[in-house]
Amino acid sequence: MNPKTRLRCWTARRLLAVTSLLCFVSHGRAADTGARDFFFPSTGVRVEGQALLLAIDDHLLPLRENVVEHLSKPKQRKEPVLSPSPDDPLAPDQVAAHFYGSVLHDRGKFRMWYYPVGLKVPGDARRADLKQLSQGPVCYAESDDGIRWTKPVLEQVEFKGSRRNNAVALPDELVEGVHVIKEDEEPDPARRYKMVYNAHNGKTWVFRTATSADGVRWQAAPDFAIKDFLETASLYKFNDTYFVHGQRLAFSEGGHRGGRQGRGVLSPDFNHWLPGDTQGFNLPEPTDPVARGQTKPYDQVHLGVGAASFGNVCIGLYGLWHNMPGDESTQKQWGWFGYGKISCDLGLVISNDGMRFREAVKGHVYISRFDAPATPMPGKDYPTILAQSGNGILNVGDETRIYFGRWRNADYGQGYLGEIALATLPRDRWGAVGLFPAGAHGGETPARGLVWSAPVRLPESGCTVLLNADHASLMDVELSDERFALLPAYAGTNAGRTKVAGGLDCAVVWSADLSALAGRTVRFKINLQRGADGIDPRLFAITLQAN
Amino acid sequence: MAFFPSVAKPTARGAAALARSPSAHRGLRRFACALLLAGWGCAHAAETASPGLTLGAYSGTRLTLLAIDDYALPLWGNLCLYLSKPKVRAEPVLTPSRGNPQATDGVATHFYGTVMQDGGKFRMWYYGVGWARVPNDKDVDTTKLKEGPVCYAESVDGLQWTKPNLGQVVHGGGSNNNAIALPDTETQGAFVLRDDRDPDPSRRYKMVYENRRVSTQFMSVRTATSADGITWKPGPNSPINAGIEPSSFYQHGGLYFINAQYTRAVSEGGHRSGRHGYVWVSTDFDTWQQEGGESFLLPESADPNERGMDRPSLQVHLGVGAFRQGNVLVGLYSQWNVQPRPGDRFGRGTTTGDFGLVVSTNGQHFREPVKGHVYLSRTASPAAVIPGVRHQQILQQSEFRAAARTPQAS
Repeated sequence: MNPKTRLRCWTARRLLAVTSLLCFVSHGRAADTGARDFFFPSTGVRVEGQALLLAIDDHLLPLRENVVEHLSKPKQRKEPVLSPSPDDPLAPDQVAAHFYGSVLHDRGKFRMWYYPVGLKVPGDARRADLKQLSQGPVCYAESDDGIRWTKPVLEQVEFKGSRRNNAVALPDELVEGVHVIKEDEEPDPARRYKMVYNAHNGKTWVFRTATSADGVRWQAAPDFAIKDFLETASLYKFNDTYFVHGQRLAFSEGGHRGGRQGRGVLSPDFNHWLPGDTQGFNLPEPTDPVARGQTKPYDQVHLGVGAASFGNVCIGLYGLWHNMPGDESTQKQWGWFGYGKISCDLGLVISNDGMRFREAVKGHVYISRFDAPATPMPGKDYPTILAQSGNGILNVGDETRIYFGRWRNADYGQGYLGEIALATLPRDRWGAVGLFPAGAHGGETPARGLVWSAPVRLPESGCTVLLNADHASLMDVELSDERFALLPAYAGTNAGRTKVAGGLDCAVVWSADLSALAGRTVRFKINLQRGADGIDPRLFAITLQAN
Repeated sequence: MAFFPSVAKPTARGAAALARSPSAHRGLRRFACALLLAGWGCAHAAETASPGLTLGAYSGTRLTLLAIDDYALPLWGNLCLYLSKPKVRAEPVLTPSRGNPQATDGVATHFYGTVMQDGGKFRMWYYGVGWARVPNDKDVDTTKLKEGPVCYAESVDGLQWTKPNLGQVVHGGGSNNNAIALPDTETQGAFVLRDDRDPDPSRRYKMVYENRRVSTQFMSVRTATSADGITWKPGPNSPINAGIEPSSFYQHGGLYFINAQYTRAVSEGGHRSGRHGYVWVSTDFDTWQQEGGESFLLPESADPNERGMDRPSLQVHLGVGAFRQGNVLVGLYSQWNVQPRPGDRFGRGTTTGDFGLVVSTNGQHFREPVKGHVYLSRTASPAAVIPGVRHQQILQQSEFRAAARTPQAS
């Protein structure tokens, strides 16, 4: 068989295989309609049990009047929640504990998987010789409160002659990011936990999958899932498809070199990963093609998007990587890297299809390196690189927790450090809409404003509507058909209201029975009214819960 | 499920080309296309049971999957995007009627307008600028300018245009001009679509035009309907109570859209805002939702004090001038590079405008195929130069069939 024929056969085989997978997924979705499903016609997404309409989501809350967005500022915990073990020469994380990782709140405790950096040979972990670093294996930690963590001795991996460490046995030694999800609906208990971890195949960074019954002992896939470079930032399941998002060095427009940009790869079943990728999130490349590339000084997308799925919407962070070139004349290892110069903030992004993300507010720094600096080195002022992972974003009780990494980007060999940090928000309060401020339009102070939702088909089982809002009593909720015609029984004087002044779950009650609309497609119209003394109500989210 | 919609026999064409990256092998390019077109033919039909071709929320008899559309073509392997460079005709296709004192476009023909191929000819509605009274030869006092009314032109080939004498509007002592009679004395953009689905023949043509409401300080819009595109019946004044300056009007997904620059927007945190693109929608053309939605925005300065229409920054002039092709909308926005000067918040002679390329699936939200890319540069399409005067150029987008050029003398 000549090479051309072989290529055609290969192409046809792959095409058939992938087509089969896509057909499977499509038919699977169509047959899956459940009584507790919400369906969003404008995005094509169906979600069971609960749907979330966030104030920062201009696709599910697309039309607005006299309201403006206010992004929240996450509360930072100054101290790291997990640090390396610099005084333990046998620890895989003697130098750095990087949160290219995951946290699950699982059966009453917090569980973390992370990427450690240690020393291959004895040395000073606080001024590590970068030529002697080990990356990996995947490490594991546990906590009762998510703040104080222990590193259990798993005795799975021999590291520097000892098994007394918290490393997880996997077939790859050179490892970076690790992303874990738990699927309670998975019928095979041996696949209840699913992991994607970044491994080096001898040429570049790819990833391998693994499954587990308990999250501690893992069965890795025999082959790498992809063959092209991808440094990962998240694994999630959205609309019955698995997504891994990460960073690639793609060619930019016109076939020129490009910088770090966000890309996503996907799988319908976790076993087979489609060739190619989707543009997860990009930042602009310089106009001059010569000024583009991984080593050129401009803002790039570090690690792609670290996103978590909340059913019908994905929320993520990307690394706003302020790239600076290194000094290659020094002949140091990785001399192209901007040691002591590169810094990174985190930007907020959102997606309604799991593939393509957009910024809630373009260019906005959501978590600044100045608000969450890595533990400083005495006498030095090294920049901080923040590193995101979508598998560190989770709702716990009344909180949204954001676990992320802080990397002290010291001069070469002068104090490199990686540690794990925590920021929090009140649950789902990524941002709010509030009324235009006084005087916004030349002295006018709007007394009212409103937000329309995209069409939502309500579940057959009926549902409850909850406002996540401050001053929720200054709001009312009307219902219309999908073409904005208000439904008299649920609008005007019959609009729904909450009896709660404000909070995360303010139940909205209509005088008419909402269950009469089961199975109907409606829009929500949320009206905000300025209160006495100029009180400005703030709407963070609308939660729809199936009965 | 928009992600795996039903597609059969789509037509892929576009202004840009997917091409293999230098490291790719030839077969993967064909493979990627085949995957996207054939693989998704196996439908989830439950949500979209209508006949014909379906892509996401759209159903019709023809689909267009553009290389620049990462919604319709979401997965790529070893490919990168090559944006086309439009061929620009150096000469303008329409110029002001300098020698006609009765012309309402004696100073400028602004393409805040529409070109439509209709009944075997091209038809144009545009925004003319003339003198409020007949000037002398050296009169350059712009306060004596009059904006509007809407003007009309026709062409067989879209290149050579004539301005028919409509006799509808008296100006300069007579009605020997191509102006259209509408009740507003000050107008700007004019955006027309032909709606063959409207059962009322007197509403066959629908117009949204920009007017200045007598009682307010800002420009907004008014609607009109017509049986022939020449004689118009105005709709109610102020169908939208907002300061908006549009650059397109289109139908998509069962809704009418006006895409415009919102002059009274507020940026994140309740601060002043620059120009950005928003949409307003209507289900029936008669009643418009008062609520707008974000269509295309550029970043604001991190410092709220540096935000505002009069601050030096890159802003979105007139929103998105979009053109709908069935399931997809392609548009241009003006990258309005505001360069104010002391006492001149507009930046006459200093502010410039290039075009960026955007695409949309739902008619509201537009995205750049390549962020920040100048698709059509002012330097590649310069306005006519006055000898001895240095100009900056502003390009104005509209219904995406043509573009206008405005000199900014300095």
